[in-house]
Amino acid sequence: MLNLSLGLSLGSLATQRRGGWSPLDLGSKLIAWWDASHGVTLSGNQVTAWTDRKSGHSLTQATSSARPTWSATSFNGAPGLTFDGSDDELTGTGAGLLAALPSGSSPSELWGVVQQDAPGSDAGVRHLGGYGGVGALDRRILTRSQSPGPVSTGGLQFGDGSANRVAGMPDSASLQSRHVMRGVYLSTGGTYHQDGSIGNTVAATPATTASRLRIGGSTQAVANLLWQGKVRDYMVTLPLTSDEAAKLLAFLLPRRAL
Amino acid sequence: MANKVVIFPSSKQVEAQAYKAACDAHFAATFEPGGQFAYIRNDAFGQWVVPYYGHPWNMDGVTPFNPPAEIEALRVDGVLHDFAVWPEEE
Repeated sequence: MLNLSLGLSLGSLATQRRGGWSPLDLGSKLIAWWDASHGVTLSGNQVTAWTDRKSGHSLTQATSSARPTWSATSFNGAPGLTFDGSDDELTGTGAGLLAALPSGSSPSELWGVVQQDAPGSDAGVRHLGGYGGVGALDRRILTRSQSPGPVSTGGLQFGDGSANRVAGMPDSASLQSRHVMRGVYLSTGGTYHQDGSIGNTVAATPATTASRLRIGGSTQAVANLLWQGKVRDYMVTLPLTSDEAAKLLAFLLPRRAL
Repeated sequence: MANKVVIFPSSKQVEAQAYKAACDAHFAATFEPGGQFAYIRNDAFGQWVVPYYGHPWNMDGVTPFNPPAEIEALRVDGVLHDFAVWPEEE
């Protein structure tokens, strides 16, 4: 019998760093940070768990065929998780994680350093990740969709309890290749940002249920709208000040590995 | 994990479950004790989808995996596809 369950842990949960600003310096504003260089548990090259650097919240995938893969160089030479766009996703339902996620109309932000690999010809909406309950009416999520061109464009979605609200970048701003995605969810609406450029805002009041957090697909019980591409970082924060957001952006932009 | 899927007709749930069970058993015995290889889900058309236990899936990203003949025989009622069409959002 060949057992390839390596249980490889890539780094500690401690706030070890060499100096300089880190997202961990956001303190209580940082809810969770999944970093492809830390906390990845592998079976072979398959990711069975990804543990966040702030509080140790784990996202898991028990089914082999639905696990993303990890490589030390897949994100243009940097560590990254690869999601196949077919069934790969990681889900967290731990009580500590769910309790920490702002729900209802409480504000939060979602950030991702990603590589979007679905072609512009792909008409499907794909979800990088977010948190919510059973469907489109009670979640917050970052997305990829098709715009005229056709090109892939980034955006956010959230449910207000009766409708799914959508905001994105202008059609000319492609999400192809590697980018920093940011969704700002306030009690008055949501605004999407990409690589530091501000996109559109949609006005509505979120009505979010924190039943699960998922990276790689929608938040409903059985994931769909699956992400095709790579993820280096994924983060949940409380609303950031302009100064905090600028520092976080300055930290994340180089991690696009352009 | 890149993988193809085996799609069974809606009338072949038992066969789909048998294929999934065989894949899981072999996976647990060979790669991951107590582990699970596959899921079984309905696609947008009510057909039964089970991930294919074979290329391009493998355990380490390098070593080709050739499924046992007895497991291959269990997917005779299904069709191999590159992807599934999942149901719309709830």
